[in-house]
Amino acid sequence: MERRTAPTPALLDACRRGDPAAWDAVLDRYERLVYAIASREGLSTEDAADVTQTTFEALLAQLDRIRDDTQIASWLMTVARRQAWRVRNDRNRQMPDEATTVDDSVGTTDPLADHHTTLWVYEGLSELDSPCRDLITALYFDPGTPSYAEVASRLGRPVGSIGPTRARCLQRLRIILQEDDEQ
Amino acid sequence: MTDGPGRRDRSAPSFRQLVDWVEGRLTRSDATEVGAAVDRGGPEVERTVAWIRDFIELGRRHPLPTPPPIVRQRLRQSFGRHNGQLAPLRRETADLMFDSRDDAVVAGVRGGPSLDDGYRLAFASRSVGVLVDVLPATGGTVHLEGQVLTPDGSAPVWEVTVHHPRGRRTDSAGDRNGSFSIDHVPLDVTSLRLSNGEVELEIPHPLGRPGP
Repeated sequence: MERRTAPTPALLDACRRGDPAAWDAVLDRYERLVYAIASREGLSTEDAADVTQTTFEALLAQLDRIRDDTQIASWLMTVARRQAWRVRNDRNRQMPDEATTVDDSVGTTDPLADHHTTLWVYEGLSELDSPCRDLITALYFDPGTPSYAEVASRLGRPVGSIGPTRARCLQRLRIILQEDDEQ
Repeated sequence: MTDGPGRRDRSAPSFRQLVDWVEGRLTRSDATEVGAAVDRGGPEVERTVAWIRDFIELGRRHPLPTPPPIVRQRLRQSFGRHNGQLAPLRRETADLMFDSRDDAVVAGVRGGPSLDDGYRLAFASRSVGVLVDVLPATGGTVHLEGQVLTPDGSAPVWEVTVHHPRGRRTDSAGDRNGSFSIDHVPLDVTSLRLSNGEVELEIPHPLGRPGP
């Protein structure tokens, strides 16, 4: 299996040297994960965006002190959850009569298991090359469930290429996830 | 069976055919053919079909929504700031350059221009231009559709804050084309403040001169 994405530790090293392209690659890889974690804690779009920003700013602040670069997704997820809880508690204190209710219609009833599943699949997705990752994310993880035509337009691809490419990318992802399961 | 729908042989269906079959993307005859191949396909085909179904369900239960574009822009700027590469925030004020209601007066439109029709304004500062369409809305408010035009597109997403005598409201849903859209702007709005993290632009009297 060819894995064409730069490993996260190499990207973080480049970030430490001030390389903006590496930072962009880190954001490409993890921004959606952090935002999804915040959204799943029942936050509004604005609050989830703020939590995403705060989480990555914490990463920047801690960049030189992170001990294990291979665990960065887990680190980000933990920080995002804590930030999201803090924001949710603040909102509940401000509006006690409208206490936030978390939408349980998605995910399991065990939020921790839910986040671990998200992390597992997200790590798998992050090992795909960018065109594959974008395609699979758009087709299977976009809550708006866009059509093939919408996805083709968004990604700048011919509609006819979506089906065959999707199958190839899914097959790659299946192998990656199975390898992760075996480790 | 081959990857091309409609051709018949007795081999196992391809991964692509199985995905199409699970997702209901095949014609009825192809679906029947693949379904029959799945029935006789054995444990490996069963495992593949189960994996595809589980994966689709996984995506449904664990969606990954796209963050608003301003998040990425802010995070790029945070990185620049962290590394001392971000220029200090510039503050500018925009002046009214064009009001489509003036054109209507010059053209002698019968009865004069009316807010009922909406109108267009153009503002400009030293480095930024802003087009604003003022559209009628309910409850003594207007709807604003705008676009910020900058000479370079380094930070194209703008956050807009509406200031009025009773407070202020911020909208961060601008897009990567510099466009923004704000509902329920009161008629006594005193200013708009737009920021992309590099420029903070104030537009005093953003509805132009008082209406007719």
